Amino acid sequence: MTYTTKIHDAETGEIIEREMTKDEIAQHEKERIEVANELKREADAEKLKEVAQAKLAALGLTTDDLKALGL
Amino acid sequence: MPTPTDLVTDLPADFEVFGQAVDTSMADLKGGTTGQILSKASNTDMDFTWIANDQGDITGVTAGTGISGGGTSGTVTITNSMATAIDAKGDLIAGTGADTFDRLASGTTGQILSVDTTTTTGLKWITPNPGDITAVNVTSPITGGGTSGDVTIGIQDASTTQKGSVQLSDSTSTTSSTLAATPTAVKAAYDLANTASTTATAAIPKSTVTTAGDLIVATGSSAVTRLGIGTNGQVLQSNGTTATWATPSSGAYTTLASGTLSGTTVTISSISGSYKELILLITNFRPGAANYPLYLQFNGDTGSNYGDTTATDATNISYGSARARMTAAQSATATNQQSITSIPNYANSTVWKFFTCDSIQNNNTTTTNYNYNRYAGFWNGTAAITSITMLTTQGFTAGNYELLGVK
Repeated sequence: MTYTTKIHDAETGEIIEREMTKDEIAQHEKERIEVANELKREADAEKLKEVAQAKLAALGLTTDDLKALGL
Repeated sequence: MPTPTDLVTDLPADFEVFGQAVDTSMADLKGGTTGQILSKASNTDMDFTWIANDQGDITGVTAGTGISGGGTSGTVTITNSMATAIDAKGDLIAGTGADTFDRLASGTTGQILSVDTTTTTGLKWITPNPGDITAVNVTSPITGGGTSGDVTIGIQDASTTQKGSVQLSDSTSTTSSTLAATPTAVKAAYDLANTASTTATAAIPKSTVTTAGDLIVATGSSAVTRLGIGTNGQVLQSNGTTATWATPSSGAYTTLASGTLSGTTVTISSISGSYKELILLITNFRPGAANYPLYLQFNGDTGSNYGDTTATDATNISYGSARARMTAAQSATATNQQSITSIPNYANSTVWKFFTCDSIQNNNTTTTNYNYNRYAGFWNGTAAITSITMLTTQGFTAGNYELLGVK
């Protein structure tokens, strides 16, 4: 896979598109993993939230009820 | 001579008398010559005379036009007046009017007869001009000529390489190189040129502008002037009377960079620090794989120095990311997206840099399938922001960016 970066010089208007350096690719791969983990955590948290809401609903409660209790 | 009742007494004598009487009475019958005829000489009996046998019934000869003489008796003479008018060799008889004529004396040697209505006869002798031409020489565009006999001359056809005779044409559209324009064609061209001239006179001359960036500004009715380009960052302003370039005091937007999102990352570098705020517009962003958001990094900082949240509670800010989030996860196929990120005080070199971003995206197929997020975050960096990197971890397949500087 080819990784490229585009650099737009705001002062001169010059645009350079080139392949990423080895370090840049390594940074990019690192970020890929980090972002994947972040998104997974967010997805997991969303699932936990949905489960919690389901439990509340089973008890006949809503998130508004929790807010009313100051929770 | 005795009467019938007389008594004849002397017959011989009577016969003699009778004979003498007859002889006397018939005396005119004597004589004459051969061929003559007898003609009465008077009304008296027996009075005759011998005459030549040339008697006719002409009783008179009257001279007509051109004839003179004539008579009514005896031998008459008639004369041709035209003939008698001739006095010398070469004389001509010429009419001078109805039934009139006159003598025209001969001219001199070599003269020729010429008509001249001012003379009595309408004619006169003139000396002909024999000419002294010995050669007919020609030069272009005349052709032909010669030095003897009948000579012929002509005019050669004109072309772009030689002069000569040309065919006229009324056309104003022909491309011929041999036709010549008529006054009709010239007038048609003149009329068009006149109209064009009028139009050109009313037009703004191109020479009004002299330098790249020049503008043409009206100074009044049908009057213009050149307005040279302003300095970098200036904007066109109105003072209510005319337009001028001026440095905006505040609020003016300047596009610092714009383009398309492509490749793995896009970085806007060399950002001027002469603005109060940066506005980053992203439209129709599409990641290389489904459900990945768009992130920001400043000044190439990939350290864990970013914090952001979509909640209103500051305690929910997630700090320690290596990038600041701008959008929710975006479909790889949705094309309708926009986000506006404000980075105020970006050029300050002593404080952290905050940003807020409003982002909305839709899959273009349903009215309920959309995401709206408002992100707020900061960069734990005090340096002035001079570059912004936009990235997804999947690369870009589409999208547009525009960075604005706000005065």
